[in-house]
Amino acid sequence: METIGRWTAITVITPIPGWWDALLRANFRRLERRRRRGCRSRIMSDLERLSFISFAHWSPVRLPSGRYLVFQSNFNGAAKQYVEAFARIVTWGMRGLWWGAIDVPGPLPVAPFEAYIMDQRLPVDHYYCAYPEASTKMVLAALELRERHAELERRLPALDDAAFAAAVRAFMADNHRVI
Amino acid sequence: MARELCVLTSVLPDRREALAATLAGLPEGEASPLARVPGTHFARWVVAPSLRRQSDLGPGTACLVFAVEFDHRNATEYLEDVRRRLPDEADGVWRHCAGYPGAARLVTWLLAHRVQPGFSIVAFPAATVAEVREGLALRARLAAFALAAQRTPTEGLREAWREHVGPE
Amino acid sequence: MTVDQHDLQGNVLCGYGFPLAKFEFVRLGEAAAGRRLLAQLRPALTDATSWGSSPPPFAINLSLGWQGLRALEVPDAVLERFPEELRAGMAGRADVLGDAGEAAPGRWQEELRPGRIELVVALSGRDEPGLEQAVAALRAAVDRAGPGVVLDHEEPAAVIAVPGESLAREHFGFADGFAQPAIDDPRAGPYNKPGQGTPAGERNWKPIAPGEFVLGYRDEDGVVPGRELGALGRDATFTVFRKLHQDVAGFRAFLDEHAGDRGPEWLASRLMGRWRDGTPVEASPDAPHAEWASEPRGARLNDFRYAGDPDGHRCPLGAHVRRANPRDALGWGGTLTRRHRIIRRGMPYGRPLPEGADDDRADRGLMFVCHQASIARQFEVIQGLWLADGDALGLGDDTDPIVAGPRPAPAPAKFTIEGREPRFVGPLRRFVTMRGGEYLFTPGLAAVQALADGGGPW
Repeated sequence: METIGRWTAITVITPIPGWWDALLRANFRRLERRRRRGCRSRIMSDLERLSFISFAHWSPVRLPSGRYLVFQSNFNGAAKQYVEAFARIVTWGMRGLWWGAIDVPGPLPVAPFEAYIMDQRLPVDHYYCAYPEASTKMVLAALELRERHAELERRLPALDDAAFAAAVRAFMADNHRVI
Repeated sequence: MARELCVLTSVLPDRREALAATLAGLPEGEASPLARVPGTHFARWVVAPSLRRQSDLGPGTACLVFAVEFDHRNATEYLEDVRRRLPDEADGVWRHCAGYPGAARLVTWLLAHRVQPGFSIVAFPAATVAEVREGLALRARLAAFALAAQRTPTEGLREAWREHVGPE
Repeated sequence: MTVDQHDLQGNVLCGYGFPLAKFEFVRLGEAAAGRRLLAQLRPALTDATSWGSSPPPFAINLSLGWQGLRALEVPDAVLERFPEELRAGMAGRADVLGDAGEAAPGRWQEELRPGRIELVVALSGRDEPGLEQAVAALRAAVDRAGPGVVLDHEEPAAVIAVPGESLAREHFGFADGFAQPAIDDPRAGPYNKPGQGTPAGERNWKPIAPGEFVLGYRDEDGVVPGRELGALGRDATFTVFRKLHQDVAGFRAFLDEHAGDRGPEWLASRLMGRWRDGTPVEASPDAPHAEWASEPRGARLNDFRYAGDPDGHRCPLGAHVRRANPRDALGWGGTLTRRHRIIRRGMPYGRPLPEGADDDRADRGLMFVCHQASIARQFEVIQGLWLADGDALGLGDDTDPIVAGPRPAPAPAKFTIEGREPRFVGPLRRFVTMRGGEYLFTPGLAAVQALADGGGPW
């Protein structure tokens, strides 16, 4: 089953020609060097803003039968909306990944690209998630809350009732967006 | 620190259905054997039925993809954990693949078939599974407190906090 | 290319504005009888042409469920090209829609239960005599069609008019029906007012391509939907019908219970995202604007955006209208929302409950009807991702406080009113309960004839 709780797994393996394999590897090395230096590429910012992905990976691989681009992702929401958001918001990112791949339509117009991904995605034979009922956004909110709550808990024991109430109410007000 | 690992192994020609049946027989959800490996965020086994070039006419090779995102350790340590904690299931799955050397040399063999990472998006790279779960549980408790606390006078708030939020 | 008004059925692109309706549910029996009925009805069907200044006494339109298309023995090869969600039927999509618990298909009203709805004939009346004429016309057609065709069930509906006000209301007391998509077609209703299209630039609005609502015309991506349906895919649309029961007494009690110092009207406006008279909270958070609401058809009630209010301090992030039409709230202008609009043509049913009255447990609510080119992309995204869930808006498991019931979750269902002094409202209850419905295909008039003839071409 490719869905567990709020998560859907997508796996797509696309054959790629040798020249695209070489280009992708060079690009990935460049992006990794930039990431280590602390620079964020546009594709990363856009994808993170979309915030329905926990993990997504694009990996070139060489097998006896040829070269492939392996794409896998865990995301929230409906698969079609996910692909649509990718195609509309991260259009150049999608081109940068799949343009040279064999028989993959461009991201726009959305319908053929969506159809390609939906058609080519591999059924998942076994899927596990450690927190199935929580989405990326919920996890990010929870992590933020956890940190701030720890800070609060350090202060609370020393406070009298009135100060305690004020501190807790302020905490709830400051963090209402993530509760 | 969440790391990723993706391993691609060829499936023996006459074992595709047996492999699919093995994977279908694994319990799901919290009972999944992969739940036994601490620090596993996501994991999947996917059988790619036939990978071949567009120009080839042959039936193509079936491949088994094992992809996982996990905490703390390097890939070798993670796979050692897999070998130790789900020995029967690991053997039951990977025995259908070409070149499977048996349980004792599972880790070396899997590492030899590792796909090098290319480009990744990771939403919460620094968080461990335990931290995510703690955070989610806390968030639920805070939501319950939020509703209870609005009508609670100042002097009762400490008690309400203790009741709904903790400490755990 | 403008939509062919002579082929498109009426009340899709331009609402009739009639005060009365009856939804008639017809069982078709065997194919020959069903086709005879369609042949009888075809000349009486109302198209989309303008009435000028003299509306007829009534209008008749029809839509078919999957079971109806099968009853007419439309060939399997053609049936297979219909979208998956139509084949599954609304009950088959209960998981997607959040129709669970009391709203689950197993609890639906007998006459509207899964698989039962074959043909829905929507009768609209200018007045009571007009509606009665429509009913008589339908009954006569059913009689002439012969044995097997049965008028199974009827659901009446009526606009709730408020004396002195131009906008009708629904049972919870909110003005309704004036927020519709602006469509790029000359016959598309009086909706080309600011705020009803897609945000364009800082201040402008762009009307939406007709193919988002009518098959056979270009949609927002420049693609023509419905080509795979051949002749059936011209001037057609897909229609969602849902009988939604409203617990008016429960809603009022909830407002009173949780009103706090700002009062129940203020709370109601935060839950809805509009004041009762239709004034948008985003544009006017502190009070309604009577002069806006009194303009004809609420022309000024829709000219607002959310991008300047990303934290929900003016209009709460989870308010109903903000969920149902996020405009630019999902980022990147309206890019992620422009293909998820619907045309709503519903109407209240049941006697209004007077203010202050006790719960009479009467059946009242909304006959919800909407039209779109793709139910999965349009209605189901709104209902399933934005109303029956909160995650797309960053609200986790918190569902729409008015129209969706709470979903199973580790924390109690709540509604957050964001701001410098935020409020948490809850636990939420269910006020709207789905009682039955179906996904329907609303063919063009030539297609109705083709279905009546039975032999194609398809």
